[in-house]
Amino acid sequence: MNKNPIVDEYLEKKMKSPFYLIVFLCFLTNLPLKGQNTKMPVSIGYFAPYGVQYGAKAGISIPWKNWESDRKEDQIRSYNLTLDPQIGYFVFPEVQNNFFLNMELAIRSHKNEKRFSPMASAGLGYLLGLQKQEGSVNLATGEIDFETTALHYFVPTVSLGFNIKPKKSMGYYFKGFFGRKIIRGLEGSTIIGAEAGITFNINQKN
Amino acid sequence: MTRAAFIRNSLAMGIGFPFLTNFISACGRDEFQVPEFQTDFSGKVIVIGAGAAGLAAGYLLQRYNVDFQIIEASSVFGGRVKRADNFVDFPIDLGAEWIHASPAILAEIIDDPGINANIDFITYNPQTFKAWNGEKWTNHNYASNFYSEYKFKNTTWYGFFEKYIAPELLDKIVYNQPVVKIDYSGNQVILQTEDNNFYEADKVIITAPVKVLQSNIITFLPELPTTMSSAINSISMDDGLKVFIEFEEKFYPDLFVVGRFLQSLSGDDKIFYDAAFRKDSTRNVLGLFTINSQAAPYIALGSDQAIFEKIMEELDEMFEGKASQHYIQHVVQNWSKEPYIKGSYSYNFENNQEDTVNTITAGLEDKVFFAGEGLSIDNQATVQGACESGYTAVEKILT
Ligand SMILES: Cc1cc2nc3c(=O)[nH]c(=O)nc-3n(C[C@H](O)[C@H](O)[C@H](O)COP(=O)(O)OP(=O)(O)OC[C@H]3O[C@@H](n4cnc5c(N)ncnc54)[C@H](O)[C@@H]3O)c2cc1C
Repeated sequence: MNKNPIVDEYLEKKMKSPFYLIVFLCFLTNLPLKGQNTKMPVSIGYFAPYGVQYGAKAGISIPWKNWESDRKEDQIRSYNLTLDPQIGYFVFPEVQNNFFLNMELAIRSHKNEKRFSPMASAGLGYLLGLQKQEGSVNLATGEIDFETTALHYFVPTVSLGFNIKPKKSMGYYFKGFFGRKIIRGLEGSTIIGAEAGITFNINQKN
Repeated sequence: MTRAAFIRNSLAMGIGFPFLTNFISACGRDEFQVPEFQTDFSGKVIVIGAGAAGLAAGYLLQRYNVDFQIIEASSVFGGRVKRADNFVDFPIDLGAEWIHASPAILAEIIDDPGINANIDFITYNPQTFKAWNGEKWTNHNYASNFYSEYKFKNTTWYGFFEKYIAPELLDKIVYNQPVVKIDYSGNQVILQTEDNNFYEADKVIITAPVKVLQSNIITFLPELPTTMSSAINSISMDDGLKVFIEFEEKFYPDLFVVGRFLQSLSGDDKIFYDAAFRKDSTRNVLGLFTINSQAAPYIALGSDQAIFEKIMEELDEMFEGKASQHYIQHVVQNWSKEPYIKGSYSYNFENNQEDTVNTITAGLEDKVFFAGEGLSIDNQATVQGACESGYTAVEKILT
């Protein structure tokens, strides 16, 4: 548990609003797509671990494998396996600001040309938690100075949900996730929550 | 939604009091303002009780240069704010311990922009939670992700009052004078104490706990109107107990309960917790906080020693004898046994809370007024609620 006041202050002040973070993430996720020909839907989601924490994340889906099965007559089911790198921020109000990088392996399947597709994924993430463990209150003004401590977690998760594929440009998704926050030297804890968001194709050349 | 409404709704949904506060802070900070007003009051005021409400009332009366006295039944000030000084290497709160609000509330209670001081606090966000079902433990560490509040780091609620509220009041407090009779039939209110001392004042503020008022330790002349006495009797306040045990080793999680985890946190409380959590300390102190029906079986045992032995028996069963093996010392604070407290804090209101509180705080013939934690609508059952009620009673008298 090391303290880095400069990093803490920067992150606290400059990245306080998830909105700026989302804009920043969109920019980042957009970069590698330029000049590529594959569809790599970008997703931006709102999510709420434990129902009381909240935050946003952005990611892209990088196609890895596609295959089809036609076991039932006039029903072709296609499957896509994607790698979904994500970056995000969420907050436990008054207690902890969290920044994370996550990599998910996701499988989606859809019948014929339907836009609806159930999805399942497994992911592994790194989470930096800036925890306000103590502080000092000025008795004249009521102003509070928190001291934050950086905590580093690994977060394996599994998710289940569904996607509505982008028709022209925009689609939607919803998923529930479940996992563990693992931290060295301390007991970990379960993480559970729900996420909803939009997906859109930035590159339509294909 | 106000904090009070939120507490009411949440209790109705089965979320226990100790687990509410971080949701409460999400409802925004309640207005807590020390009242400011003009006054031409020139009489004498007597405050009965030197707990948080009585001290806050005195603090405001002093600010307005009013002639006043505080009459206290016991030999110390603080009431349910009490400290064990020399137990370990940090002071222990034997009564109120958590700051059930943003720590900024401390500045709001003092309300003195000229003060040059800071208070250190810890974010009380236990990381390990367990429940004991009589046979085995289950982990509930996920709770660390939604439960959090605050505690003093190097001081206590008592220390806060001792340093910032009480200093100017010390020569106004008369100790060891339980008031047994209040005669408000004449122009002046006459108070009689157990020792047959008499005190006279134009106005009186009673801050005795609800349970004391219910037990008729104080008789009123004329008798309390029925509406008033039934309002007082409709507030429940039951048993309360805190125990601290020092061990050589920390063999327990940061917080644990007996029974089903979420069920144990709703309704009546019995919580074991690491009292040294994030304190500047090398000692291992386990606290037990229990109230109402969960506290009753311990209180029924009678002596502090019997209570302690029962708790050790339970801990030994849960931790395979480690409690006895590592025991160093303990302190028991039986709030039900305190003759002028008689329990924990106001809990339930039989009727509408606001109506009940308004009936009581309306006072008696503009001479006798009531304050205390049970009479704060927004901050009931807390220290700041007690202060708020004391300030409100003073404002009523002086305006
Ligand atoms: C176990 C426990 C844990 C708690 N935990 C917390 C917490 O973590 N955080 C929090 O904010 N609050 C907590 N509280 C509640 C908090 O302590 C109370 O809300 C607050 O201290 C009550 O202040 P008060 O002035 O209303 O009453 P009291 O503090 O009870 O003061 C009343 C005073 O009146 C005196 N008195 C009574 N009868 C007479 C008489 N006849 N004549 C003269 N004097 C008399 C008493 O001796 C006492 O000093 C806790 C309470 C308990 C018991």
